[in-house]
Amino acid sequence: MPMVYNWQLGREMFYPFEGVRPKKQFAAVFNINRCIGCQTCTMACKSTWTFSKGQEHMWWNNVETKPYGGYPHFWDIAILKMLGDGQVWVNGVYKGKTIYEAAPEGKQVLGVLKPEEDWRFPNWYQDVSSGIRQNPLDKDAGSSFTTHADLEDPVNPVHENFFYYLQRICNHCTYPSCGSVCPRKAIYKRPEDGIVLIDQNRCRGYRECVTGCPYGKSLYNPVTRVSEKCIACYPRVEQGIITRCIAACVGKIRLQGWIKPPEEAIPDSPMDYLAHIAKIALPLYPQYGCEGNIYYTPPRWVPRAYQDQMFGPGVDTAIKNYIHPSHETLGVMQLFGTTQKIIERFRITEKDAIGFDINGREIIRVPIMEPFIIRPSFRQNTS
Amino acid sequence: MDKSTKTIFLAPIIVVSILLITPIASQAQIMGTFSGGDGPKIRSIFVDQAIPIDPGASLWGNAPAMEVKVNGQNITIPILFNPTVKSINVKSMNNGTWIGFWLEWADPTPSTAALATHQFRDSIGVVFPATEGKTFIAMGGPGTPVNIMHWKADWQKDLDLGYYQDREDAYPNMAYDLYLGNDEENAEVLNYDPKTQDPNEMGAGDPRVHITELNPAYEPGLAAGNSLSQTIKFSPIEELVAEGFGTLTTQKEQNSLGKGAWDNGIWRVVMARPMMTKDATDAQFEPGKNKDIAFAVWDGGNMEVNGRKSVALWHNLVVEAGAPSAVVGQQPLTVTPPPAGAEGASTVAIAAIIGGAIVAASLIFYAAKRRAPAPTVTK
Repeated sequence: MPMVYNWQLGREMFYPFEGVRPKKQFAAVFNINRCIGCQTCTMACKSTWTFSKGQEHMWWNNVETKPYGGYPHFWDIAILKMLGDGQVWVNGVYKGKTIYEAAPEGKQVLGVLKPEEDWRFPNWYQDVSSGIRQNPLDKDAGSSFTTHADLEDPVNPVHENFFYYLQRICNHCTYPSCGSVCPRKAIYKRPEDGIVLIDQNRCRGYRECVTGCPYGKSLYNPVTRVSEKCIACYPRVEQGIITRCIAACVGKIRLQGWIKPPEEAIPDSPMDYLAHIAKIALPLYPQYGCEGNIYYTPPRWVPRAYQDQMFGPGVDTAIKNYIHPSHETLGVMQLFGTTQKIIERFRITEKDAIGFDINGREIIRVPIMEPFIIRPSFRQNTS
Repeated sequence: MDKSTKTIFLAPIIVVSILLITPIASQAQIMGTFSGGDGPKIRSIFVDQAIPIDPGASLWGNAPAMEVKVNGQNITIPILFNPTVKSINVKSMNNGTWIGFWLEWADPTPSTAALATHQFRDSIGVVFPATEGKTFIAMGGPGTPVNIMHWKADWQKDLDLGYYQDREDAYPNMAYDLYLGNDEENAEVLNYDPKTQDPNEMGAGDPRVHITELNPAYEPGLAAGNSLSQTIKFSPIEELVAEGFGTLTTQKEQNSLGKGAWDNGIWRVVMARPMMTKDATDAQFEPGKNKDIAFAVWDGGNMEVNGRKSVALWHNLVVEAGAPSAVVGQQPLTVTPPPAGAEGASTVAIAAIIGGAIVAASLIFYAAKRRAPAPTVTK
């Protein structure tokens, strides 16, 4: 039984296959702080890939409102409950069990098959907030999510009543559980870009991957009677173009690139910089053990304990570095949503953030600070 | 149990679980993990008539039945811990050119669709060693493939309905404006004989012509040629070959015919195929020569799918030979379509006799996507 190194856990873990990293790993950073929940990404994906009969319930990209929203319903809570106590981090090392290590007898991973109705309503709880303190008369009680100390934090006070949008696509995991549970190896991870795909010819519709993906991102197509998933817009990625959901993002919250493990980080690769150097991009539920490759800049107003559970031990650092960015971090943040091409490398000058393609050609240049211009008084209003 | 102890423990558990089959099994069943002709005998009696495809045909009443015990599969992950099917009754007949299997098992709830994420089909498989070597019971192995005939309840339902079950079958009141790129003139035709009938010449009034909204270009499984996604079917049985876990593959040549019917808590299924074929990965049946045979059954209502199935170890099929003069035939394959408006195709009688291999080779399941121009049909 192979052991693989999962840098997000800070330790080795059990995985059914040998740990072979792809030459390049598809990745993206989603800045939750910027999202306005407009679902343009969702519709960009839908109108490109899942408009056919049998795909009505399929949203390869969805944006759900936390803490209560989820597509499929309670996809994360179901797994977290089964993982139970012991999801503890000590000095950045995960001491609990992953979904592989907690697999019940006779199964490859811990998972749950969500019934049809859980996939029907992707926007239930949209814009629903956490609710306020449990006992409105007791100002020290805190809400279900908030402690009194959180609210009083002088540096990063959180909101007692909160919600935030969580943007979700397939994580194109380094250790994909969908692939590990497929008895036919119909799911494969491409060595050239790390994109995880379901072979539509070999899939037999067993729904092991639908059960086994802890992110709920393998979906069954009842018309073709086999399963499908996000393909990371690979026909675009193969030509150096970003995915539809990332390209369509109105709020410019998304940046696509390639990620390496921290010890191999390339300082001028946007993903490596944001995740490993600036440390403002965190994995989603790293305790699952899949080493997912969609990273999030955590929302600064949300209670820390709730975020620690969702993004692991780096939340405080990420929020601190995001609120008080270095010049370089500020520069990289400007590259979000500025070009349809994949930015392979970046350079930050005093004034500009510059992105380069795979051939080192400049593909984007944006100012880090927009120029501050004082209009003459007679142009102060526009009427 | 942390990761390291789990790693240490898992391997022995799997090995031990294979070994632990032994105390509860008879000596014959221990031997039954590899083919070798020493399993319990099942007779395939000789008859000098066409093998009836209908499991209710009176001829099947004359054949001797053998009860085969099945147990939850526990050799490989995923394991079935709570099987609902305990045994199946098996009959077999051959007429020298075709061989048929009649299978009967109890299932209180027929699961005839896979139209929702949590919905699984009932199905049953008959497996044979595809070569002469000793073949492992569980999906064969490299160089020693197994040949499988797999009947699926949802395929049967498609054929009984006369069309491919679709979204409206799961959600009868669903409404939609359009599916992008779908062509209202797409049509599919079921239950025709590709040897003698051209679906393009079938009129709009033919009950076998079904208009579909599916555009093959935008249905990924269909576009990729997946056997499960094919909207046009000739048979509820899929023929497959496997050379070890995870290698199950649909055969290019599909030769099997059959029919299943659920009645009052009992599934009865007939699967029939030519005894000799030109398909290199088919098991070949010679009159008078025994053949190993095993079974697997899935109860869709119990979420059984994949390795979660009830299985029997190798049995030995005694293929009884008739007198040479008794070999019947000289009649071509004929398909009698169900009368227009009749519910189901229970009266379909398919007599497939002489030249079985040649005829059957033409029954290519993959002749999908043939379209009938039926623009005047309204749904």
